[in-house]
Amino acid sequence: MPINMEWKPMGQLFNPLDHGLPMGCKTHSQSPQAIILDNRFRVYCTSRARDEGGKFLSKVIYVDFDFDWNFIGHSNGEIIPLGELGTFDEHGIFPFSPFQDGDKITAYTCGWSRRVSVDVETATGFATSDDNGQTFEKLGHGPVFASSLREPMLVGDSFVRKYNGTYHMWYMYGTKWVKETDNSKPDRVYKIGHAVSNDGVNWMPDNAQIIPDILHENECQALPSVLYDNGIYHMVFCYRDVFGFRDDPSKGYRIGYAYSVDGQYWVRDDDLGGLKNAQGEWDRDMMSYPHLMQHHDKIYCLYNGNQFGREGFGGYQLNQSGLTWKHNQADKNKILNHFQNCDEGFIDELSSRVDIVDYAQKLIDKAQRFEVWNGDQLIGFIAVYWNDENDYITNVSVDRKYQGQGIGDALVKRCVITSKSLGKKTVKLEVKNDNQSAINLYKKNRFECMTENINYATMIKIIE
Amino acid sequence: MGLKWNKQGLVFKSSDHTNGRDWLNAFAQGPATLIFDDFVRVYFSCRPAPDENGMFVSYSSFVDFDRKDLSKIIRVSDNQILPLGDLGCFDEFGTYPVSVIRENDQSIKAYYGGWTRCESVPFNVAIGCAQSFDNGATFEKMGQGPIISYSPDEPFIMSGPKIRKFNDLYMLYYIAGKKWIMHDGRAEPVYTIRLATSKDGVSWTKENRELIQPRIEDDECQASPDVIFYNGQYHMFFCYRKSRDYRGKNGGYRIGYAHSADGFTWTRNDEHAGITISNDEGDVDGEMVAYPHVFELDGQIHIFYLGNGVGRDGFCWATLDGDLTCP
Repeated sequence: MPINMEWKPMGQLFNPLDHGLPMGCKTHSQSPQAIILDNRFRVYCTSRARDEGGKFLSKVIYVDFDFDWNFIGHSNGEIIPLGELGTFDEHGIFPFSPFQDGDKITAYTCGWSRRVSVDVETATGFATSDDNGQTFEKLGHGPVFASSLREPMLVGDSFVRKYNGTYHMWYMYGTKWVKETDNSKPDRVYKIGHAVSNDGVNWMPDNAQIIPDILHENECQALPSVLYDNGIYHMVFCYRDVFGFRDDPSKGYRIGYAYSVDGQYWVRDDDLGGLKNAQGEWDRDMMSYPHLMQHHDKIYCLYNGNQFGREGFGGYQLNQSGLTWKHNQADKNKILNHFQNCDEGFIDELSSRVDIVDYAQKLIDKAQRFEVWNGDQLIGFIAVYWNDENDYITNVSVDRKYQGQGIGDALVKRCVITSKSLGKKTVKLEVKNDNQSAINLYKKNRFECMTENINYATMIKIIE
Repeated sequence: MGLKWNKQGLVFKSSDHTNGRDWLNAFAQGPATLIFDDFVRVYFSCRPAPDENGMFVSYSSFVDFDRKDLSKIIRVSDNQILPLGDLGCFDEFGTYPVSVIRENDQSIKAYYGGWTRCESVPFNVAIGCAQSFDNGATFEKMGQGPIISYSPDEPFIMSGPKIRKFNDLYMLYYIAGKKWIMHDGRAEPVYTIRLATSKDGVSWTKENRELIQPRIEDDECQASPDVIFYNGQYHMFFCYRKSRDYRGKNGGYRIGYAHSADGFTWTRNDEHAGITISNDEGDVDGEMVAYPHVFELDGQIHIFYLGNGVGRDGFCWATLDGDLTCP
């Protein structure tokens, strides 16, 4: 695929072992998640102290950086207390996900409480800050989002954003505990889910696993983080095997990627996400707990390295020069201009059938448009009408200066796989009988000729 | 003044039915009735012998009484009505108590408390839901998780569900934990009576308030909110106790009462309940009376309730003298 995301390494940004942290914390700075203040990034994460029994307690700290990612300082006191006796967050808060909701600063916490037959149970809490992110006050003593009928345990890792007036939460929920052998300690299996809310407090889960498994049915998926950019919802998350993941790097956490045009139905493509390569010693064995963030036009992915972030976090910055995907972004003029730049005679042929200006407007009003851009230039385009079960591709066009690079193929694949994620049954299109290269492209993507008249063939792909 | 009850003693004695039922070694708690044409089915919760660490699990089952004579037992189920939850599920260590309701001709729904064990406090409870398509003999869980979740003001111990339907609206009366306190080296819970409503029995809207104001102390513990609509009024029988030093006669469970015109807003009047511990400490209800369940059967009002050890020996029965009135 020629249009993978490329990232520039930023290196390791913070190592807790280099600092004197508050509240007895010594190691770990897990799940870095940032808010943007006037003159700094404030990155919240979870560090660890030990209780009198020697077990870990996860506590929230923050680390401040300037906008060039130079370290400014870290928190010195308690940001949010652990829960009281018997509460859902008595034994730890990890992760801590801050959210800038207009001019309010809120946070979704993942609270931990220890169990007997299994290690723990988790649930999502909600808190608000009135002092610009220095401290947070919880809403009540209980969670705002917890285990329910079809999500029976380990609800947590909640990440919330607001789009078009609706709050969206992506989170993880447990499906079961399993033992590798009869004598093993139980291990968890969890998946990523989605829920919506009108107020950020009362949530309706979709009750569906939204990211398909890659490894096998017991793949563990965690820490979804979503960024909306240019018509596309991008998600990074981490995934691992259910057993052996602590000591065997081949089974440990890696960063996955998925994209969506509506935030609800997702296409997983870890390779396209491009976050596969370690940067150094600190993340050589594990890349985990990723977080997408944007400041002005720069997009970053923070994440933890070895031993689940025992020695801190680092990041990558998205390389936005070169080819990028967008969705429904091009206006009428850009589309018309793009048609001009396609094959010689393409636009003449098109105008002999339709009024081009009206057609471009119709595409904007009624079609979904998958777009490939080079900087601010639209160079690849596919427009599809979404119907109930049978979608119709009305246009596939690549700027003649960019042909022969597999862009047409990438466009068709992306369009079809999105239709599949939405549960569609077929995708159809019409192609001129003498357009052999187009016909070959569609055949390669398993479209078959359905009907033919003198000039055109209708081709159809059945989606499995 | 208050209501007058004629006590009939233990109507179900656990030790009479342990043969072939290793899951019924002791206890018969949280009685809840389902009326059939010829018999009254009473669901209850019981326990096998404790494990090597002295820990219990709780199962639920049922006993059928002759509708014409509640002192006659027709059958006791040979099975539990629900399995315990899988590893790490909310009901892994117990299903107790159970409350049932006829949904329609084909199905009966049960709402039950599911128990798990915790490290810093002994347990947590959440409310599950199961369905029966064989007239209440066996039940299948609707899902592996609870039907109603913890929330900011109901942080833990959601239990003691009592399901009712009034005017086409499902009403779930239950208890929710308020806090845990340490007393004499033991963690003790404080919980109070709550309400949620639903159109379909699956998605619930919580009232998010305590229905019954505490009376004997600030940290009063309340349980078993048993509501009956009778003579145009809603009557609630419940039990309450102190949250410290309550094991034994002083401070132990007593049965309280409240009435309401709509099922939502309640006026408490414990004296009106009219049922209290026996004068003779040796009696099965000499130390406490708890977990009331009031029902009407062929023109007569009955109550099942628990005695000492919160139903360790079985459950008790009394009949009401006269009509069920408000104070």
